[in-house]
Amino acid sequence: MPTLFYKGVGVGTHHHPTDLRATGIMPRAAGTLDEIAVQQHIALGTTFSPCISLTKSFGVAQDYAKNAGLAAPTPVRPAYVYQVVIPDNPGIPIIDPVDFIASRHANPLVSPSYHHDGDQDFLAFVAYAGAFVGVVPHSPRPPGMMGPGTHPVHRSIQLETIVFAIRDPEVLAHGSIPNTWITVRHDIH
Amino acid sequence: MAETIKIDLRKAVNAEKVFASLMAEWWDVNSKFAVVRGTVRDDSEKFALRLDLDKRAFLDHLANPITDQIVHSYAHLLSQVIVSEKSKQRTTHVA
Repeated sequence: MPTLFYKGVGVGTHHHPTDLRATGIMPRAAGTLDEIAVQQHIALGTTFSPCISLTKSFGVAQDYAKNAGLAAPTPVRPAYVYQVVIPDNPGIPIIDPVDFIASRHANPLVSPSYHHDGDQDFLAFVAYAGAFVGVVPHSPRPPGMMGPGTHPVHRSIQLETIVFAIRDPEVLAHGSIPNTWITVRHDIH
Repeated sequence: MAETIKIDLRKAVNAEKVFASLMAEWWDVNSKFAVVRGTVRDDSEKFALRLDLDKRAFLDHLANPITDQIVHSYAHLLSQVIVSEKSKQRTTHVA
C-alpha cells in the first residue's frame, strides 16, 4: 500500500524556487548510504547529503516550511509543504533512521553508543535544547563515587540521531524522488 | 504577517575581530530555527545560514571552505545566545 509522507520547504532555500511536482527531488550530494551519512543528515542537520528527508507528520513539515527558511513566508511568497506518496516497491532505499542506527548497535553487553548516563530528563534536553536556557546536564553518580565537581553526560551522535528522527518522524530516501510521487503542494504562510 | 526580529550578535559572542557583521533574525519566537547573516572579516562575501537551535548546527554550508569552517565553529555558541534572547522575548511578551 502506498505511504504518504510530507516535505517542508522554507522560503529562499535550495528547493524553494522549483515546483517539485514538475522536477522531483534530487539529493544535494552523491554518496553511499552508511551510518555516517545518516548521522550527519539527521543529528547535524546537514542538507548537503546523499539523502532526502521526509516526515510522516504534516505538522513537522509545516514547522520546517514556516521557520527553517531564509525569510518569513507571506501570501505573496509562501513556503511549501509537499505531499509525497511512496509506492510499495520504490526502487530506492527508504530507511527508518531509528532502526538504521539501533540495529547497528544492538548488543547491550557492549554498551550501545546511544545509551546515555544522564537522568530521566536528559532526553528532553537532547530533543529540545532550545527550550533549556543555561542548563548544563550532568551525570549523576552513586554516593561516594561522585568525586570533585560534576560530570558531563555521555551524549553520542547515535543518540542524537535516534532522538531527532523520533521527534520529527523522519525517514530518509537515498536517491532521487521522481515527480510522479509528488502529488500535492500546500502553500504555507 | 509576523514581525522579523533582528539582533546583533558580535558582542554577545565576543567575535568582533572575526566578523565584520553578525546578525540573527527570526519571525517566530517559539520556532527552533534562526537565520544568521553576516560577513567574516577576511571574506567580503555576505552569508545567510539557517541555524537549528536544538541541533545547535547550521543546516547549510558556504562555498568558501575556510569561511564555512569559521562560521560553523560558532554554531554552538550562537545557538545558546539566540535561545537566551528568544527566552527573554517570550518573557517580555508574557509580561
